[in-house]
Amino acid sequence: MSDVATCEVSPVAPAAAAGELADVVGMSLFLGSGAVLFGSLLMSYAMLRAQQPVWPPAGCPPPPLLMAAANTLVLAVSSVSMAHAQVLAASGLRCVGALCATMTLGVLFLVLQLPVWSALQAAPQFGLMRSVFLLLAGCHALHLAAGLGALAWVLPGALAGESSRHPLAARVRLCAMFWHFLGVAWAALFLTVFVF
Amino acid sequence: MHDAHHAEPTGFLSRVVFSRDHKVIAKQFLLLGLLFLGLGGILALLIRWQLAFPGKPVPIVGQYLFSATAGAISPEGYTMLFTMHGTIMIFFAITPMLIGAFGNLCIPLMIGARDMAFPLLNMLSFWVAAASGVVLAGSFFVEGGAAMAGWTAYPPLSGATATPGLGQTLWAVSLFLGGVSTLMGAINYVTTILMLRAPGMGFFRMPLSVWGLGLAAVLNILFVPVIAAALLMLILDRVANTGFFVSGAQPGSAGDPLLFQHLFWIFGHPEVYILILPAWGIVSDLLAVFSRKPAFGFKATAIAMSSIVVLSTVVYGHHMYTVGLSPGLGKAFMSLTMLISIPSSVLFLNWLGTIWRGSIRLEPAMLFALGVVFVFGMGGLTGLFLGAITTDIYLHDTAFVVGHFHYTMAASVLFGSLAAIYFWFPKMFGRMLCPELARLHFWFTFLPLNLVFFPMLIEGYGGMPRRLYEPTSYKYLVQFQPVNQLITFAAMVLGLAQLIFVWNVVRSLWAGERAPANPWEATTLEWLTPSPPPHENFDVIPEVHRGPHEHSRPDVPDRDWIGQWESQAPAAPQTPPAPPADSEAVAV
Amino acid sequence: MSSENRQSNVLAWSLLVVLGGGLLTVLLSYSPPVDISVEGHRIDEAFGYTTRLITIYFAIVLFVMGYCLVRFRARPGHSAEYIEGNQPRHLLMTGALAASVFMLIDMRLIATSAHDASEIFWKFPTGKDVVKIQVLGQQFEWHFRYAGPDAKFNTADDVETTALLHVPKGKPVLMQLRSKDVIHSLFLPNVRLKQDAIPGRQTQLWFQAKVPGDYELACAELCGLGHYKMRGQFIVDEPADFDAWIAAQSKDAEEEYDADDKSANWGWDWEARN
Repeated sequence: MSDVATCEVSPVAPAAAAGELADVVGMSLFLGSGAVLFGSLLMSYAMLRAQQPVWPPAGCPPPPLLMAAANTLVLAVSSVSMAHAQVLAASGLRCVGALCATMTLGVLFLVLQLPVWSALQAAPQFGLMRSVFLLLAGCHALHLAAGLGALAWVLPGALAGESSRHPLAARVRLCAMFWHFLGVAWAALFLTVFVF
Repeated sequence: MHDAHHAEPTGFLSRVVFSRDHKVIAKQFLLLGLLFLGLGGILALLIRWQLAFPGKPVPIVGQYLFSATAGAISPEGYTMLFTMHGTIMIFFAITPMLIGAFGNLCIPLMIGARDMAFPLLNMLSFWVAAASGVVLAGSFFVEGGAAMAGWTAYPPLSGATATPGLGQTLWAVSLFLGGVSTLMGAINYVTTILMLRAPGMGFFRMPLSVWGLGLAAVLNILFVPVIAAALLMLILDRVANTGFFVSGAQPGSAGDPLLFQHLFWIFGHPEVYILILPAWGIVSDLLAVFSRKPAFGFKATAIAMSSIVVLSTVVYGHHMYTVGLSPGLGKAFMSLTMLISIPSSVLFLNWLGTIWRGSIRLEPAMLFALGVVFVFGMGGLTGLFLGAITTDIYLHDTAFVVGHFHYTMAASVLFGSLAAIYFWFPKMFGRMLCPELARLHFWFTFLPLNLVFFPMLIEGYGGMPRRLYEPTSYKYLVQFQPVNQLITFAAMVLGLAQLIFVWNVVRSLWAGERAPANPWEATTLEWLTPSPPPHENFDVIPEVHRGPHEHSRPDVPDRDWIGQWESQAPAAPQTPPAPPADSEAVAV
Repeated sequence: MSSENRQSNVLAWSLLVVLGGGLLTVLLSYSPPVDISVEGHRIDEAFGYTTRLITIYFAIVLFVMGYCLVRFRARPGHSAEYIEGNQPRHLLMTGALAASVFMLIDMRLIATSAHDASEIFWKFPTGKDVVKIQVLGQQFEWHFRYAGPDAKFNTADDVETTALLHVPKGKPVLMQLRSKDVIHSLFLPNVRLKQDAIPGRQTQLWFQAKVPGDYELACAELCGLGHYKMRGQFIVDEPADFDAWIAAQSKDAEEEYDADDKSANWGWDWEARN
């Protein structure tokens, strides 16, 4: 996050710049603790999986790789559109389109999770596969829903095309940091739960 | 947006209830903490009653609280009592008092900021904490009662099969919310310290209280998510039939109960330091102020506290020596644990160095600070036995552990909080507390407190397991019944003595003497502001010229302190100051 | 300070010292349950010398503190000395003192404890004369299982007891522990040991008793509402008495054996897992 923290915020009042920097610092700390959260969950998963003789556990269907891959693709594209929105906002251009695209892709991601969820409902109660998926993907989905909420929070400003571009750009930047974090967290999850 | 002045809000709601002013939020946290401290204390007395007089009806309150059993405490009631006592004291009493109240009050004032970096987040942090407190307190009233798996809530005991009922689930939800609140606060504290220090306020000019609070916040950011992960899994196990911690008798049959213990203690051990670090910082500052000397080895103290932060992250395994660790892992955890005694010794030596050749003013806050040195010494040293594998195997899960961690967590942290209250009360509320009552409060807290926790060490060495509903159910423990009764009487005195404190606070709030801006002649930035400080604290952000404890400088004439904000000593005669008095002259 | 004030101060302090000292003497007269094991004295000794060392250390700290409080109390004509304590010599002094405390107290404890853990308490005995016992924790009873004459577990001649542990004097006893429901912890105060029994895992514990007698065993880990009732009898027999007891019990067990009773036959293959 340090490259974000040091990026220039030139023609604004120093007070506002300091405030924006504080926001970036605060968001970085938040993402740091988010990384510990997902790290702990993945570590727990690793510890449970290591104790199993076979994986996936006996009687459990293998996780639906194809659907999850589609999920991953959607989220990756949404990260690109989020980055695009950030660039647009930083240079004072309208970013409503890119924001809406990101949100749409985010919703699509959640919708595409539904078949994966229902596939795992077939797994036995107390089954580790079902448990792990419920925990990791559920936790990620909740964070993603919060990310959608954050995007909805900046949307009115983007629609109005705020005259002073900096508050909007700063907000979009915070959203982008969070959104990319969700992308990275999903990538880790996808690789460990679905691929390997 | 952070430096600009904001108009003070005028409505009652925005000024008192949903205030974003860090000083108001500090008061809210203090009130929350004190209320839960009272509740936790009452639970403790009930526990003590059962241990001293097993099965006898509780006098006065028993008939209302335990009407189904004719006033006596049942095993259910007893288990609930100690589970909730631990949870409440750790997460809802001392955490809000030290970190919530004094973190909020001290950090912006001491570093010369108008407020926290994120005032809205700060307000939310309090209200989430309040909500989690309501959830926890409410769990007493649900069917089946509150949580009954100990404050450590080891599964499978805390799982849905062994402990059905809503209470245990609410316990987990409440702790999760508490974690969210703590995390919000911690992010705010660290950002504020990093971004909003007044000009000239370098890291080594920050008071040690800010160091302690800041380091605790860093630990919170790193480790609250770990317990959050454990709680999420516990909640899912309870409500969604997952199987993280569920296991049959056959090895490797499904989930793993030990996973919870790992996560719990990865968080749990740093949590001890999260609570004690602010107390250390506050004690270091207070000893300096009331000895009229700089804090001895300021940098060494700051570095020692930081190295304890680092070490605290890699020692958690000493809570798990009896689960069947491999000898290699056990020895690694033991060696790392023992390393903590080096920086701890540095702290003690620096505290002694601070009062050495000082001019000690035994104000109430100083008494409590010195009390921390004593009780933390007891707690820290008894910790050696629990850090070493073989002695811990015997002492683990006995009353020795209870005595040890009450000395560290309850006594040290409580004394740190009380020292902080006696020190900053004038700044917070603009009134002085009565020092005579405060001294009485000190002695009636300090002496019974040792009579409560020291005998527990003896009982533990005698082999008394903790959390026993009826200690007399073991023949070899019957001899300890007089000791149990002694502890219980001491605990009652300790509890009653707190009424002195309550009375002192209430009396002062209404009729206390008005506090001057700097009643203790202290040097840190909060004493520059009027008592209580106005909205946004400072008219003009002060410039910082020197370290936080410049007392008794030879080049400052006439008085034994110079504030961090003063560019030079106030105008004074040109005569050079007398050389430091090494006087053998005047005895008491 | 007026002389009256001073007198009452002296009186208060002397009272405190006398009362406190008396109480301390009474408290310190309590001792742990008698150690009946071959190796338990190692834990007592580690506890003992560490206690003595930290008592000395803490006494010094308190003495210096007390001295400062009397000698450097604020009074007219006395002022504090400006010492920052950041000079190299100060740091050196602090560092050296802290390190020496670590080496004197901690290092010794680490060394003994590490040796005792990996060479004694966690080094599990093998060989013919080892008495093997399987332990199952269950709310709120300890179950013990002896292989019987055939030396095989989970067979008809197994001796199973509840809340009663017999061991012979003078032979190493090795236990494998499992739990049926929640975590329990087998605590034998008289041999200074405890070991958790954890569902889904198998743990071990060994000791060798040397004093015959009738003692108690406990559950140390909170295991539910009946936790306090999970006590058991712990009997150390002369070897001949132990063999006779096993033989008699085994005979009874064989008569009552029911191969279909799954819950009664909770034992496992001894070597199954380590």
